Amino acid sequence: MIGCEDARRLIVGRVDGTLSSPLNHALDRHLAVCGACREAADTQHVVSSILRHRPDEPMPAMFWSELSERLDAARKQGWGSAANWRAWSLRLVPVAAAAAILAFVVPQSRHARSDGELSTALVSLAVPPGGLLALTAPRADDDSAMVVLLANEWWQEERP
Amino acid sequence: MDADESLVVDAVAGSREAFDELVVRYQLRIYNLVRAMSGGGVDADDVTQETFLRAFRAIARFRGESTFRTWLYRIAMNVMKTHQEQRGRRLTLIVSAEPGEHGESAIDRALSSEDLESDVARRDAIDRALADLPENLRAIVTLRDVQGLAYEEIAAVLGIPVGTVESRVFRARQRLRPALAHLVGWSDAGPTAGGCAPGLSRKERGRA
Repeated sequence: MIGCEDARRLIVGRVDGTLSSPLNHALDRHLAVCGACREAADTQHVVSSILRHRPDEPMPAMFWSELSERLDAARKQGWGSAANWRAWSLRLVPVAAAAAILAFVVPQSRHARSDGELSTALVSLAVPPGGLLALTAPRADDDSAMVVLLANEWWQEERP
Repeated sequence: MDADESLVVDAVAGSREAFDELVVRYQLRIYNLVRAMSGGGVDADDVTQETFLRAFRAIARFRGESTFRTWLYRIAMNVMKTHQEQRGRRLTLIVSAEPGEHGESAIDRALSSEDLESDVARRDAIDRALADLPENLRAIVTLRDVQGLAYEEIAAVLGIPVGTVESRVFRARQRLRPALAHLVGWSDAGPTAGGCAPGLSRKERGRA
């Protein structure tokens, strides 16, 4: 026979209609001998029903017109569109970063010293608070590459 | 397939009409979520508009890792939290101020047996009961019972485990019983505490 703690978990499942038949039977056997859990089951069913039937409050009369104006203004500022240049700049930064790394690594590997060691290179990726994204490599030889990418200040824009 | 999927795809691609249709689908749910959660403590109209405005600004970055509904509810909860923090006060239920001839409030008058039938009185009674819950319990029981979200979706919206959602739903409903008892003719005895013990059934209690 299950105890009260398990019974209360099953009661929640029963209210939602998700309880399997064997678990329903197990719960019934417990409720047959436990007044406290019977009362809890009653409470769960009735309170859930009351809340589910909470009457909706109608939308304010001006809601749609006011929101529509705000959405129009946001669209004019460039929001809400896949063509939004801010969104695209965020998407392109990792692609550009990968291209920059390749631009550095390929020349370096062709000019590896005879003992097999690659020229030491430091690649730092820094995103200072101002939103500047820089991928730099120090000049190791004539073929080393320095790539600097500048992201716009919206790189750090807040997420919803 | 998610019922919103084709609209969301179009909205992400920049279709204003598709986004507007999503607003139509969800405006009443979001507005009443805010009303039930805040009991009038925040401007539900403003919070709902802000929710859709934020969603509009972010829609191009929506990746479908959750359903649109989950994503939108998460935005709504964040906007509500921001508004509450800005106001810097606990949620309160705003009731109309005119006292009756015996000094009772409009809510008290509305809870007379005749007025219990009215939608406004019933909704206010429910929202008042919800407002008395701790915020973590209020959020979960509102999302579950008022809004009809599944436990997994509530867990995703609030960022908590499903087991926590289930246990908080149980506790919230138990705590709501005294406040809602008058709506169903219960005695206003609180929930029974303690472990498994034989007790009288309701029928037996009626005869005792």
